[in-house]
Order: sequence, then C-alpha cells, then structure tokens
Amino acid sequence: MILIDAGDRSAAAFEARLALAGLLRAEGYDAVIDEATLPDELGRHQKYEAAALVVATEDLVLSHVLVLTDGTLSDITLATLHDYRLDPSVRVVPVGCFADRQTELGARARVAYATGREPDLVDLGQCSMTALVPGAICPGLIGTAVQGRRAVTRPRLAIFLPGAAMSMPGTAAALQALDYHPKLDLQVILTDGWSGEARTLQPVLRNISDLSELPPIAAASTIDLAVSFGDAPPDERQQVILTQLLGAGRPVIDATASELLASQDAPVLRGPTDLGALGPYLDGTLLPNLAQIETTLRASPWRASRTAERFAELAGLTPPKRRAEVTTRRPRTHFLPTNGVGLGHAQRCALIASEMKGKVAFAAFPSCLPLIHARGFEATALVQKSPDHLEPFANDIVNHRRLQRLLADGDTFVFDGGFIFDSIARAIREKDLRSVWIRRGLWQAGASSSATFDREHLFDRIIIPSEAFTELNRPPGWDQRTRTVGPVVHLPQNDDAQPDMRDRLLERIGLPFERLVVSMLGAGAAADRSAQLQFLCSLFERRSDILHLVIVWPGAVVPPGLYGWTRSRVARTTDALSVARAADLVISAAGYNSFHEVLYHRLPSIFIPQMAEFMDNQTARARAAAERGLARAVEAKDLLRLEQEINELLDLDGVATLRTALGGAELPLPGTNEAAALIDEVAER
Amino acid sequence: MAQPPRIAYLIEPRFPGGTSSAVAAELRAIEPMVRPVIHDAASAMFPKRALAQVLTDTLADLRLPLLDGDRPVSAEMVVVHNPAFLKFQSDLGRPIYCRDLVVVTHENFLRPGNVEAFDIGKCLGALDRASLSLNKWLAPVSPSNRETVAEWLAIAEPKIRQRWRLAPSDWFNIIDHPRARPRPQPRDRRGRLSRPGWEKFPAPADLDLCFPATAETNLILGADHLLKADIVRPHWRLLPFGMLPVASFFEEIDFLVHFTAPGWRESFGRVLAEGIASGKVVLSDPETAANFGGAVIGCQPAQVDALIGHYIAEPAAYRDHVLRAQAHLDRYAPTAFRQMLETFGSPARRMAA
Repeated sequence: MILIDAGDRSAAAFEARLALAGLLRAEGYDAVIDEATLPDELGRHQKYEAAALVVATEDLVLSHVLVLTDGTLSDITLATLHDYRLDPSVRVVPVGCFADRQTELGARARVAYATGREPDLVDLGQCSMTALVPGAICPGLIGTAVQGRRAVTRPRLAIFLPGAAMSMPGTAAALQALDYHPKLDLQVILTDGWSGEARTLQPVLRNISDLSELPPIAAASTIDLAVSFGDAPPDERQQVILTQLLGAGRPVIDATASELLASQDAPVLRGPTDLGALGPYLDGTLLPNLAQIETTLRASPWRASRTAERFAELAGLTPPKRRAEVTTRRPRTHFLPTNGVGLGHAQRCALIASEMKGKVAFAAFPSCLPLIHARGFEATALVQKSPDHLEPFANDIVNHRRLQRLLADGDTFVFDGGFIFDSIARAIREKDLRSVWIRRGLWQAGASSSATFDREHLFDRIIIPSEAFTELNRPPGWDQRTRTVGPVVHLPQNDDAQPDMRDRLLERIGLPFERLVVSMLGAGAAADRSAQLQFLCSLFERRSDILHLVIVWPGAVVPPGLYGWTRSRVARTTDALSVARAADLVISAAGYNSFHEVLYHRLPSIFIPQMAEFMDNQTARARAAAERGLARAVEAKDLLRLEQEINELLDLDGVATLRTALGGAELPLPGTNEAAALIDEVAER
Repeated sequence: MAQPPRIAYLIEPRFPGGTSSAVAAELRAIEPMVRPVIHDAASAMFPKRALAQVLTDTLADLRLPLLDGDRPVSAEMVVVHNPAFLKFQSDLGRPIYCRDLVVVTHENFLRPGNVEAFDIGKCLGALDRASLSLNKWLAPVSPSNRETVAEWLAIAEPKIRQRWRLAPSDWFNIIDHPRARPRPQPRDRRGRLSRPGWEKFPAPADLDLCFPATAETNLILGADHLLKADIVRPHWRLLPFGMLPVASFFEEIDFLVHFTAPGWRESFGRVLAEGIASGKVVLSDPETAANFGGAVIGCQPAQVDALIGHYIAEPAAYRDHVLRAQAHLDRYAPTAFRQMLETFGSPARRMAA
C-alpha cells in the first residue's frame, strides 16, 4: 500500500492528495489516504472521492509513504508520521517543488527526524515534473487511463469558466452559440461552483457542471480540447485535468488575460480572452490544425518527462500488478431502477430486461429486490436513504462504491428514474460505459425544466416509454439520442390466467365473498393514503358480499388501523397484477405501470392520482382514461365522490359498462421489445 | 581616538537553545581579556522571536551593548556563531572587515547518512561575499562536529574549499557550571532535557526503552511536541520546555538519558555536560558520547535499563563515574577557552595578540 499524506491539512492539500491517489489508482497502484488525516471540513463531492481512497491504517502493510510538500510540514503531519512507527522497510518520499535548496534540505531533515529514516525525496522541479502553474501541490503527472477511452466523432470542447464571467455581457450568447456549434460538443465547467449568475445558464446549456463534482481522470477522459478562462490560478483539480489532456495529446487553450498557463513551460496554446471570439478562433485556427497540434503535443518533451511511470521510478514504487478480473469479464448490461413511490421503475426494467439479448444484471434498492429476483435476475443491493444516516447522501456514497465495484469498462448502464443521483453520475463518468436513461415523458407543468435535466448529457441514449393516450405524449424533440417507444407494459399472456385466484383467496382468507375489490393506492412520502384506505375499508365493511384487498409491496409501511377490518385485508405481494386481474373493481393510483397494466388488462377501475412536485402528472393520466369512458377518476380529497363512484360501479352495473368500453378500446402497441432492442444496440456499439 | 576593538561578534541572539547559551558563556569567559563589540545579525530565521534570555542577562551583566542596524562589523577577529541563521536569506546585509573571520559551526554540517544538514553553501556564501578578511575559518565545536565539517568541505565546491579553512583547534563550548556532588544512593530516577523538536527525540519505541514503567521517575522536560501529538504514557511526566528551572530538573533525577532521532546528532551536547556538572550519570548514543571521552556513557536504548540497574546496585561505581566525568569537564573551563583563543589561528594573528 502507498499512503498519500501532505505537509498540511488544508483543503488544497487534500485535493492534491485525492488527485495523486486517484492518478496512482488508475495506474494500478494501491494508493490510500489515512482516515485520521482528513481535513476538518470536506466538501460533498470530496467525500464521494475520498470514500474509495480513505482507509484505517492500523492493519495496512505499507510499502511507501508519499508526502506532498513544498517544504511546509506542519506539526500535525510530523506527529502523524512519527506515530505510524513505520517498519524500517517502508520508504518515505517527500514529493514537491521546493523554492530553494534550504527548503528541500529542511523538508528532508524534518521528515527524517519524524520517521527515523532518511527519506527518498523527489524534487519535482529538478525532475521536470512540476504542475502547470507554480504553487500547485499535486505533481504534474500524466496517467495512461485517459488515453484508452473509446473514440468520439465530434471533438468535445470543455470551457473552464468562473462564475463571475456569467455577469459579463455576451457570455450567455457566446456559450449558446458554441453549444450549437456544428462540429463540437460543448461542456461548460464552472471553476468556482454554482455561484453568482451561473444558475441562469443552467436551463440554457445542455452540459454544464461544477468542477468540484468531476473526478479528474474521468473528467479528462470526456474532453478533447479545453479552454481556460478567468484570472485566478487553476486549482488542483483543474490542473490535474488539464495535465491529463496535454498528456493525451489534446489541446489546452489559455484564454486568461494574464496568460496564467501559456506563460509557463507547458505546451499550452494561447487563445482569445474574449469568449465571443472563441468560436472563430476554433473554426479558423484550431480545428483545421487539430491533428497536427495533437501530434506535436504527443511528441513534446514536457509530456515525456511527466509520465506516471517515470514518477513511479523516481519514488521507487514497485510496478503494479493489474487486477485481472476488471479487464477479463465479458461486458454486461446493468439496470438500476430507482424505487420512487412504488415499484414501477423496477417492474418496467424487469420487463425490458426480459427482452434483452445480452447478459443482464441489476443493482436495486431493497424494496425492489424481491420483484427483481422473482423475475429471475441477479441483483446487487443498494442502500436506501435513511434519516438515521449522519448525512442525507451517506447512502449514496455507499451506493457509489458498490457501483464502482460492480461496473466495468465496456458495460452498459441503464438507469430508470427521475432524479439522477450523484452515485450514478459519477459511475457513468468514471467508467467507460454505454449509458441509457429510461425516463418519463409525462411531466407536470413547468417541471421538465428542473434540475432533473442537468445530467441528461451523461447518457448515450434516452428512452421515453410513451403514454397510451396521444395528448399525454410530447412531440418528438431534436435530440438524436432520445427515442420514444410504445408503452412499456406487461401484456396479458395465456399463462397469466389464474382462474382459481378467487378460490385461493377464499381458502387463504377464509372469508366468503362474491365480489373482489383491490386497492393499489401506493404510499410513501409522495402521498399518504391512510385516510382514503380507511374510508374504503369503512365502505366495504358494510358490504357482506365484498372482499377488499389492500395491496402493498413487501416491506411497505402499512397503517396499523388497516388491520382492524373484517372485510378488508392487507396483502403484501410483488405480483399485484395477478390479484387485480381476478378483481371486479380495481382502485388504483395512476402511476405509469399500474395505469397501463389496468388499461392493457382491461380491468374496471377508479384512479385516484398521486401528485407531488417531483412526480409525473397522474391527474392528467387519470383524466385521459376517464374522458374516454375507460375508467373513473377521483381526486384524493373527494371522498364523497369516491363513495358515489363505487356505489355506481358496484350497484348500478357500472363495472359492466367499463368492461365493455375497455374491451373495445384501441391501445397502442407496447414498446417493451423496442426499448430492449435500443439498449442492445447501444451495448453493441 | 579610541582603538578599534580586537574582537567583534556577529550573532543571532534569538537562537533559543545551546548556541545562545554557548555565546553567553563565551562572552563571560573572554570579558577579562578583551572587551568585545556585539552586533545583532537580526536574521530572517527568527523574524519575530525575542532575544534569548540568557544573552540578554549576560549582555546586561557585562554592560555590553547589542548593536543593531546594518553597520559594518570591523575588528581584528570577527566571530560569527552558528552560520545556520543565514539559511533563509541570501545576503548578510552588512560588510565585515577583519583579519580573521571565525565562523563557529554549532551545527553538524552533515547529518548521519552524510546528508547535508542545511544549505551551508548559501550561508557561507553570504558571509564570504560580505567580508573582506585575510583568513576565513570554520571552527568546529567538538571532535564529532569537526568530522562533519571536514567531510562537507571535502565535497564542497572548489571555491569554497579555497576560501574557508578548518580551524586547527576546536572552538569548544565553555562549561562553567558549579559541580554538584553525586548522590550517595542513586535511585531509578531518569530524565531528559532538550528544547522541543522531532530531531531531539528518538523513535517512540526507543523512548519507551529509555523511560519504562519500571522507573521511579521519568521526567521529560521539553516535551512540547509529544504533548501536542498526544504521545504520552501514564508513567511519563511530560513538561513543556522552560516549565521547570534547569536546576530543579536535575534535582529530580539521577540519570540523564539522552537519545536523539537517528537522522540527527548533537554537535556537542551542552546539556550532557550540564548533567555531568550536576552530578548525574549521563547516557547517550556512542557517537555523541565520543565527544566527552568516557564522561558520557555510550550505549543503545536497549542497554539503558541494565546500565542504570548496575549503577543503582553499585553506588560507588556511580560516584566514581560522576567524579571522573566532572574532572573531564575541566577541559571546557573558561581558562582553557582563553588559552585556545590566545593561540587561535594564524602565526600573524598570534604575533599581533
């Protein structure tokens, strides 16, 4: 193990440690950071990156300790080194750019005193391994990971921009012009976060992100040329990214007024300082000569002196043994359905996965696992968010680690859900994956411009399962990646029929009944349906011919009051559809899956839509069915109307009327096979 | 018109440890012979630190003014104590005019492993460029210090070797402490005294060997960094530097056990001499002990317990060793220093003296 420490516990030093450890890991070295040496304050995104690198050192067998320092060695760092009581075989290597010989000798001596051995110092200045701009802590190393990613047809342009630039006239217009450049794919990287006017660009640009959320190696892998604006020196993270680009023979353009990058010894190109001039500069100067520039960069002595291999030699690191399992496993397609309000995403993924040609596996939250296992798929468990966690995103950090282990370069990753977690965004960035997003097409008014789309650019393909009714579907967009398919829904099959379901229910429950009513109203944070369910139970308690089943999924929290009724029973199952098919009436929420299953299986129903800010537009969906006479729709708060509808359906032959209408309804062909084929196509690229 | 002084000192009076103590003792020793002029070097090494108390007291006692500013330093002999104060600056900031420029090398030029201890070329270069001098001497403070200076000179740039000569005799520390009688019945009361710093302390495992739970007393004065790093033991009494008067410290122990980090060595070991004068048996690593003939017992940390056990069991041996060691200290007496000074350097200077 190679332990990475630094001369002080500052945020910048920690960034440098993360960067170096990440670089070495990507080269196959076991680089780690001691958990006892974390700075007091860690940013959210640093925590994601640190989780893979931070260890408790008590039981580690160390071979090297690398100490990043420019001569600064705080008491706490020296105390830590002293307290390790390192075995004599462990090599301690101060690594840094030292202002003069005394600084170097001082650092060498203090490390020697604290560790009880003479260190093997690497002077980055002497070794021509300095960072792009003086003052950076992380060595200017070039790894090999960036160079191996799959090729793209259009160069990917990254503009590093401080938030302050957003308030300058013309910035938004210039960026939009570049966003629609015919030969380039633009991404804007905010160097100081979502500050100032930066938020105003979020809905305007397709690919805009905060530098702090980009793992350096992964970020560099998705950039073919970079332009750096702003007059502050690039921070550690940006310097590592730019260094990797130069190492991979990809141009870096200095657009700073003070020539921060171009005035150093790196082979950086000088570009226009005005964003408005960047387009013409790229068209007229850079793009026509791109091949020549790349060839020149690859042959530069600056690059040759900064290889990770050379650094490893200087630091005396033992060449790594690459882990074979990472590279030898055959590519797979991994589905990750979010668990949302119900199990709809998991059901939809399972349906599509059943039609796939290639090998499929799942990563899913605990509530989805029984369903996925029941469909015959392997699934890796993810961790559910919990108020008991110290931080609201603690589970997502663990999930990120699990995805890092699960996914391998060449895999295809399919996400079905509304909100793209950090763990998912990071996994896609970090691995050379093909990525597909199955997302809803039906949005509440105004909701589709939300932050949900910030990360859409991460996906190679976006599949939108359409709604059964035309007015609920949006017209096709201009994005080539987006494909709309027919409704993804389980169609009635011959082997679905379970004519003995009612007999089995009678046998199991022991309560004679003539008519069966099934409620599937969902639960959770989006909408508490306790009142509606209690109301339904009270209604059916007066009807001695009714068995009312309240269907919930395994693990769902059920209000205790539901267990006190005679004619209403709670049933936990992942196969709600089989029970619903035996029912005389289904009372259901209008989520995508349950709505379409009810329709396509021609089941008489009352829809009670769930509405929350982050959800799709269930009211519109329910209304569309009701307007066609295919179902009844009742707002959740309208309990009197609900009673009227039930009475009418059960007592006045309303159910039969609905059955007739449903039997004659023409519904679009399902898109399950098409969705599977689209994913297969991405996987085969 | 007054005659120019024969000796001028250019010192950094803010050194917190042995250097300032050595200079103070030296000024008291030569004062009957010559009245020196003292210049404050005010270096970049200690931009905010106060003057060492021992020097402030000595200068006040001797009524010697400390000349500040960048005035020239001029005398027959100019003595610069510990050139390391120049390691963070490129120029001395004043000229030196003299016949003999004596640079007293209070720190080893090479650390164990033959690693340069600080940027010596930079320090000597600054002195060289600032001085007009017939002779430029490097004057070691001890035999082991002499070895490191000689070895460094042997590998230094030719122009440095041409300009600087190794002084023929050591510019030794003056030990003029009152001699205390050894305790008739020594007990297992151990201690160490140093300014704080990682270089002054051995590895934790060695520190445990030197100060075990079985000892009656384990007093560590100058343990600031151990306290800060929470390296503590229930059987250790850790005190920050200066928390206890030195005399009181020696009152509480019978054995001074002094080991340093393996990457660092005392150039002389002034505290060891103080321990001997205070009537204690002193143990240290063999290389440091060699500076004192047999007066300091050279050993490894693993041998400390057995040696202390032996002297507790044999009080006569304890007494004999301390008395022999104290006799050895005579060679560091003020009279010996004055003799060294009278004969120091070139024949021409001796004639003039």
